[in-house]
Amino acid sequence: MTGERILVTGLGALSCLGAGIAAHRQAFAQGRSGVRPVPDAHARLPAGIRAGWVEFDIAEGDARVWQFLQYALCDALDDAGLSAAGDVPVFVGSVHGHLDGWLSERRGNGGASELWQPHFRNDPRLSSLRPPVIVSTACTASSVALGLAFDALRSGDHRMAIVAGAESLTGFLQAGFEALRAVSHDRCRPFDRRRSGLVLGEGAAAVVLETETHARQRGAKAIVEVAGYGFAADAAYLTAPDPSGAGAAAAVQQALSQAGFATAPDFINAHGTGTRLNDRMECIALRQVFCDAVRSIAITSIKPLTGHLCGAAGVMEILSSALSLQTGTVPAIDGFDDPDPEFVGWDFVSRPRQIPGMETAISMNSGFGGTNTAVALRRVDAR
Amino acid sequence: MNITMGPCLLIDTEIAAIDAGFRHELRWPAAQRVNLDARLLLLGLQRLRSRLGWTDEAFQSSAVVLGCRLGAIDSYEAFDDSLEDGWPAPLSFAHALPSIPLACASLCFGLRGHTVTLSGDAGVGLQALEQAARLIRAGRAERAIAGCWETPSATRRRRYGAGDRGRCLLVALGESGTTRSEIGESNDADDVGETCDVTAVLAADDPVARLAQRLACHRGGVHV
Repeated sequence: MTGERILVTGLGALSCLGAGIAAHRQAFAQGRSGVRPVPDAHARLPAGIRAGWVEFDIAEGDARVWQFLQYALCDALDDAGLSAAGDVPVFVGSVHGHLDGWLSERRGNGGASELWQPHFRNDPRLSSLRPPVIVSTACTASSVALGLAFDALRSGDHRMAIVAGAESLTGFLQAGFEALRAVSHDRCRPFDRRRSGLVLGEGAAAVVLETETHARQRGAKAIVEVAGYGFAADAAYLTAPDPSGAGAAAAVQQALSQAGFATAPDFINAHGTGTRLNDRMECIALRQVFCDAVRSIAITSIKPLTGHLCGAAGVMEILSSALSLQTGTVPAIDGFDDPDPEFVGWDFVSRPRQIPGMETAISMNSGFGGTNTAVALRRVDAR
Repeated sequence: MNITMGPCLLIDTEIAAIDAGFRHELRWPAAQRVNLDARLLLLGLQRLRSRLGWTDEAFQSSAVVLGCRLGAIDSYEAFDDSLEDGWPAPLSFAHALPSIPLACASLCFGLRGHTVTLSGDAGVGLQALEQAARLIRAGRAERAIAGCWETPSATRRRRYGAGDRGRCLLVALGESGTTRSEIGESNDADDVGETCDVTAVLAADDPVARLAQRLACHRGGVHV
C-alpha cells in the first residue's frame, strides 16, 4: 500500500432531484424531495405510484440505465476538469443493469438483452473507455465499487479511477418490491415510528477518485478525502438484515479503523430505507460501535429525497455526504417527525442542519444477501 | 506483492448432474429453495473447500469474488413469467439478483468476508481474478477464491446458443509467501478432473473459458 491520501476530485449526478451537481447540492441543502406520483402517461411504471423517477430524454433504442450512467460520468469528468476519461479504470455498481432491454427482448419488442455491457452515445469524453468493472452486490453495489477503486489507488496500481452507480426503475422492480411488501404506500420515513417501507428511485451518480499526488500534479480541486472503507457479510438471511447488526457494525468498525478518526464522525448517512427491519438493524449496529456516544452523532438518510436508487444508492449517498462536508449542511430526513420509541433521544436530523466545523462522516449501505459497507470521509483540510 | 495460486476446480456438466451432486454433497436445510446458479456455485465451493483443507475460520474469512454474464437469470425469467400470469412470485424476485448465488454461499458456509459478485461480458472471470488478488494485496483478506459460472437458461440459449450444461471455475489464491500447501495441496491432474471435456471448455468464448485459458498459462504461480 502506498499510504497516499485518496481524494474525490469530481462529482456527477442525475436523479429525480435534477441533472447535475448544482441541482443536487441545492436539493440536499433545502431538503427538497424529488419523489412524486408517476403520471398516467408514463408507460414504464404503474400510474399513480410514488417514486423518484427521472425525466430524461432517451432516444429510441438507447438503454435508459446506460444513458443515466453516461450523464453522471460526463458530469463528473467535467467537474474534475478532465476533458476525457481516457483509459482510467471505471468501477460501476448496478443491481440489474440493462433490465429494460432484457424485458423488451423477452416480450418480443426488440431491444438488446445484453444486461451488462454499457453502450453510450458518441461522446469523445468516453471514447477510450475500457470495459468497466461492474459490481452487482445488491444495494451495496456502488459502495463496493468505490471500495475496489479505493484499493486500486492505495495499492499503486492506478493513480485515478472513476466510480459510478446506475439504476433504472422498471415495472419489474416495482412489482418485485411490492410482492415483498417492502414498498410504502404512504411515504418513506426512515427512523420514524410510523415508517412503513421504502420508495424506489432511479438515476446515476459518479465520483472521480485520485491519489493526492496526482491531483496536486494536475492542479485538481479536492472535494473530500476517502479515508476508509469497510465491508462485511451477515451470513444470516437472503432478504432480511441480520437483526444483531453484526455485519453492519463490522463494516463501520473497519472503515473507522482505516480512517483513524480520533473521535466519532460528525454525521452518519445511514442506508435508512424506511423499512422497519433495516432501520432498526442500523441503529443496533451503530450502538454496538459507538455505545452511548451514538446519541450525539447526527444521523440522516437521503432516500426520502431521491427514492431508493438500489445499485446507485451507495455513490449517490457518498456524493451527498461529500457535499455536506463541503457546505457544512447535513440534509434532513424528509418525513421524519417522531422517532421510533426504541431510539428516542437519538440525533436524527429532521431539518437541514448547519454543523460548524464539521470534518468527518460515514456513509453506510446494506443489501439483499447480507452485504454491508461503510465509507469514511474526511474534509480535505481537516488534518 | 505476488499472489500464489492454489487449487482450481472446474465443473462442466448437465443440470441433472448438478442437482444430483448438490443433493448428495450439500447438507443445508435451506437448500431446496435456491436457484440453479446457487446450486452450481454451492456445489463448486463445497468441492473446492474439500480440496483446500482450510480451517473453517480461514474459509469463512476469505474473500470470494465471482463473475457472471447472466447471474440468476432463471429467477428473473421465473419472476417475469409470474408477472405475466398475474401472480407475482416474491421468492423468484428475491432470488433475481446476480449476487444471490454468492449470498446463498455466504449463508451456507458462513462466509463473512468480502463476497463480491461482478457482472459483465466474457472477460468477467478475469476481472474477478484481478479484484480477488487485489483484495489480498490491500490486506482485506489473507486468502481468496476467484472464479465465474454460467448456467443454462432461455436467455443464455437465445443470446449465446449455449447448450444445457452448467459451468463453474474456481481458483484459490493466497498472499505471497504462503506455500502451496498452506493454500491447499493440489495435484494438477485433479484440478480439472471433473469428468468434463477440458478441450471443449477452453474452446468456447465465455467467462469460464477465458479464465481457464488464463489459469492454464500460469500453473504453479500467477502474478495478477
